[in-house]
Amino acid sequence: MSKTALVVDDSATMREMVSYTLKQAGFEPLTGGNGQEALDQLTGQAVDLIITDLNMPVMDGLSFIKAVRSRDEYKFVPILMLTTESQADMKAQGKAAGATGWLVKPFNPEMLLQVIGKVVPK
Amino acid sequence: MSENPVSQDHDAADAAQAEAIARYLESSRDLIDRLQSLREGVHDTLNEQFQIVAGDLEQLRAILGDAAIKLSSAFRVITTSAGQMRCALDEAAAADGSDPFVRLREITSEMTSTTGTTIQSLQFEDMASQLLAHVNHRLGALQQFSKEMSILNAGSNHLPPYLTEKELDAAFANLARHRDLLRNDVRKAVQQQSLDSGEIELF
Repeated sequence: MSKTALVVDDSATMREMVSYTLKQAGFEPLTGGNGQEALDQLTGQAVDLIITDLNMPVMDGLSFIKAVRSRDEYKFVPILMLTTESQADMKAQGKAAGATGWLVKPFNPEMLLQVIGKVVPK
Repeated sequence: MSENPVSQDHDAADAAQAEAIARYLESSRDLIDRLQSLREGVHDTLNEQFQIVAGDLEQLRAILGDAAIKLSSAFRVITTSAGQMRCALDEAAAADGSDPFVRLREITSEMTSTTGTTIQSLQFEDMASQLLAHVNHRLGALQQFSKEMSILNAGSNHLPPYLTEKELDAAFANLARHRDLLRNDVRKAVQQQSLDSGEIELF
């Protein structure tokens, strides 16, 4: 049975690139254009991994992570932040919100899959 | 009229002084009007240039967006075809094992590797969009700044006086407030200078 991943980014190109990479690793990707759209996708949906952008309209990545972590069923789902931001204070905010890891764009597909291999249980 | 010659001299001197002051005021008024006109000209020119730059940025955003859509679509077709070709070749090579099939498998392997570089490079669209949005926001703030300064200039049009000390203090405070807004308004989210892959940190 394939694993499911939720990809959240306001850039359609980014959603496409991340989804393609995840499919290569056997994931079934779901997508959302912002935090709110992604939360709507999550309702009643089991996911094995979430990859989210930080700066998005409507609901940003930090608010989205906090909302996800507030739901019991998603407390332990790995959440990777994939963003252009690399400042230490932003990373600290991501960590405090409940992110599992921080990846700075642009991502290399091979390296992304290595990270996913570390955070998603086999 | 005074009959005292000294007093007459004083009257003449006062009249001359009054005339000189009037001339000075008139020339000052003319100078300030010209300065006002110059400031308005600067504002109009700045506004015109802001609009041109904003138009160019919008055009660039449209072109980048279109390029990203077309490249993503082409990428989808190529990767799907490459995947299907690889499967077909694997089956054929397993059955045949001849050199051409082996070479074709190598080629598809190179294509797969190049796909990774393509994925990394296509992310230019996300960064370019964020940078354009940032520049657009700055332009909007500068336009607002220019407009505010123009309003301030309009307030100094009436004579006399051009500006009271209180109005001048308010003008400086307004200038400082807008300068701070411009400096601290929006954080720049994209610091990348290339499409090299970014750092990774697990918490």
